[in-house]
Amino acid sequence: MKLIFQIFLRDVRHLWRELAVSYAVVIAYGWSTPRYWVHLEEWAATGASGLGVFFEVPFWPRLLVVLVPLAWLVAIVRVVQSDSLVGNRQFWVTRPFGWKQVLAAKISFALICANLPLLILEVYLLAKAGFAPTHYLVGLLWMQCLTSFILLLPVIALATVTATVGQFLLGVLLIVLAQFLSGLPSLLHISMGTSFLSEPVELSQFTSTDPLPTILLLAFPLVIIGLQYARRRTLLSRWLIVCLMAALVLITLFAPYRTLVHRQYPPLNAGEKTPIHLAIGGTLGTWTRTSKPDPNEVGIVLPLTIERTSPDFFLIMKGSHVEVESQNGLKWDAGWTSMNSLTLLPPDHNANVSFAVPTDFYQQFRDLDVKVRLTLAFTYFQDANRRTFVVPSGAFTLPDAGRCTATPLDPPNVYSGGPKVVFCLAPLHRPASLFLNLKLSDSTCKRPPGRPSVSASAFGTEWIQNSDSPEFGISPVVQFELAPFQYHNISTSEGLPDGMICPGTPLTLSNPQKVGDIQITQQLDNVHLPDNGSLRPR
Amino acid sequence: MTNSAIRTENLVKTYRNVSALRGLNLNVPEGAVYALVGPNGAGKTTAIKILMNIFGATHGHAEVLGVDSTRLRGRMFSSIGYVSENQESLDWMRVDAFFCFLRPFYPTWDRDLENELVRQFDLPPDRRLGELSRGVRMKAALASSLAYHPKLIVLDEPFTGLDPLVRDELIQGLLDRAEESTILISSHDLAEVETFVSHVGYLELGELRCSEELSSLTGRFREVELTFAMPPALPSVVPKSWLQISSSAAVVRFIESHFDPEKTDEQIRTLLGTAQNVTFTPMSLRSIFLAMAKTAREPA
Repeated sequence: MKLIFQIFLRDVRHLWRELAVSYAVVIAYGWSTPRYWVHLEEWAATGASGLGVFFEVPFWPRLLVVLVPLAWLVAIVRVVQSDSLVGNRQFWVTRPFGWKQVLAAKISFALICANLPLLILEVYLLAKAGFAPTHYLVGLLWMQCLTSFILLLPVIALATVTATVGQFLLGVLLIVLAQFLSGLPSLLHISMGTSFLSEPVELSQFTSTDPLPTILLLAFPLVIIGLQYARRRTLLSRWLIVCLMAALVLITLFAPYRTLVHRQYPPLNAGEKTPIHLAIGGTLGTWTRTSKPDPNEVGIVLPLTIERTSPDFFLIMKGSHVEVESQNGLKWDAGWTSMNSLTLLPPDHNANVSFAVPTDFYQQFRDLDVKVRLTLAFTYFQDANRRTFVVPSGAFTLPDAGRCTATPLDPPNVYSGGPKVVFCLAPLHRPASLFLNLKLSDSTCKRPPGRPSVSASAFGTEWIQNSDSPEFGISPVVQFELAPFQYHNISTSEGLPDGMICPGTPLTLSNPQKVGDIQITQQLDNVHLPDNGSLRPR
Repeated sequence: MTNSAIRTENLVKTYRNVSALRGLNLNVPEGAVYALVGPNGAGKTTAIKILMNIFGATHGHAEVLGVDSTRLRGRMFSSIGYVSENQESLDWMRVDAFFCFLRPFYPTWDRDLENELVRQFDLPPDRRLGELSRGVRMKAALASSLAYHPKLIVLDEPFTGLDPLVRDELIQGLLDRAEESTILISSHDLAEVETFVSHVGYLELGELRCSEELSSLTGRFREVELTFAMPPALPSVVPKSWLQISSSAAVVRFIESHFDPEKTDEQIRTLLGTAQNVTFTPMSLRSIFLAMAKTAREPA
């Protein structure tokens, strides 16, 4: 222990400048962030944009949120590399320093450089935002774990296989490049249309391959750090990084997605009640993947009407799988397509499913009715805990959400391009599921003179969804805006009000609860494929 | 039988297609001051780095102070001092802080000896290691490796590029502590090690050409010069111990690698006849290894 402390103390003496810089940026972040909360309303009201934004208060937290981890990164890379593991000229390997002692000293340095100031910063920010830090100790520790495993662990691992900060940055660049290349199949799919990878790319958008990538991302850095300190096998460790990148790409491309989608969105069991019924909602249309249509396929849009079995169901449509069967038994499996997490809030019930069939198949059956076997994978929620909440004036506490302030803004906030009316600060994470419904005619905000009132049936909604666990980041205080961003029954001539939630405005709030991820399959008979004039035989 | 401080068996190190060591069998007796000499690229540093477990051998086995060299790490280095010309150092540290930092790692660290070494080597305590000249930095490194009375001191080309004064200081500092330690020192400068080593090994192209006590080696090598009345006919077959035999008019020269006054004299008389004048000149280490190297390169 004494020897660990001896190495640790030496590192602190050596890298005191880096430590001082990292503390300074943490302090600056801690100082500027609460000012950001306080001044946000003022700042938003100024309508600052462009270069003006640079000099406004919010610029600093946004800059510091990058500088803080950057300062940690430099200090930690330098401390790891100060007792080099690369090459064969090391000082420490022929001295009575055990590798475990050296590693423990480096971890201690990382703790006092990053984790300890982060913890203090988190406690300070929570208290400053009006949340009792003692209530969130588990969450704060979880945030420490997230920082350690997501940020520090990979940095330490990469630092152990590089000799200088320059080499480290080159390593980061190569990893970023590898990640970019791993995204190429997806880019090719988007830009060039069909490819043999199109279904994996589509499925990867809503099917998780976890826990394998997570395990690899945690295990590989740990193995590399252990291998380097215990054996200094730099070449092998570098190869391990390459293997990790390759493994992640291969997992993304060649995961057994059909099995995974079946597991993650299981079909209904026999006797289980379906939450939705499907019907064709109009005439089928056509589409093309890219601006230059592929002559070998015809893209078809199938409009659907989705009837809920309970009006309180909220749906997030994940993916669709279409199989087309002609009357003479000829089948075409169009595969899975992502539905881009289309959210259907009550009373929305329309959705489109896109798929493609080969041109020769299309030309053979375009004038005949076909059967479409449609499978939809989706997540559904049941609305719960619905209540009316009248917005008080000034700061108020919104149960299960955070501390909020209603602020009618005039002119509208240019920063996000829309009216922001309630700013909230939440401890550790945004609300897991908070649904807002505002009848626009109930708004107590003043409407500008000459602007007509909105119709009585017009309403706006917003659904905030998040994980229950703390969000990865530096600040434990998360800011979010509570405002309706989706509008219903409102005509364009009426225009949106500048402010919608003012003190006295009644809101309908609820907490939709997740019921499950499922897939349902329904056969649609007598479907007439759409006419595609360009493919009509002369 | 003397115990070995260092022993290697058939040590091989290959870098891709290049063999740096080709079956090195080295034996450094306890208490010896052993010079591992040889030209640049002979494999001296490679051998030492394998011994210090800085990297592993491709093949073979090495023991240092009775421990398999691949297991040499951590605390075991509290009885080994290693100084290398190309080792990283804590350049940002002041000399006094450097010693202060190292002290707790060595249970046998001797503060009096440390002070004595600092005085003897004239080390500036308040200067950073990185600001010191190469020679002073080597002295600081050596002092930091002597202050804990190591059983084994390994020096890899410690004198390269140093001026004679610093070199003498280093050698003196080393010799003052030689009695309690085994010393392995690698060098390509034969003249500088000849003055103080007890054993010598000659490494060339990754192979140990010879390894023995210095007195034995210098004792058995002689430059022989024979002057005859008439130019003698050189025999077609000469003893294997005669190296580089040549004649010029009535003078015959060769190097006797197993010198024994009576036996060599007898062999001369038998093979060449009676010489008018015979001189046996002792050879320097440099001359001995030059002769060995040239002989090794002659076609069989």
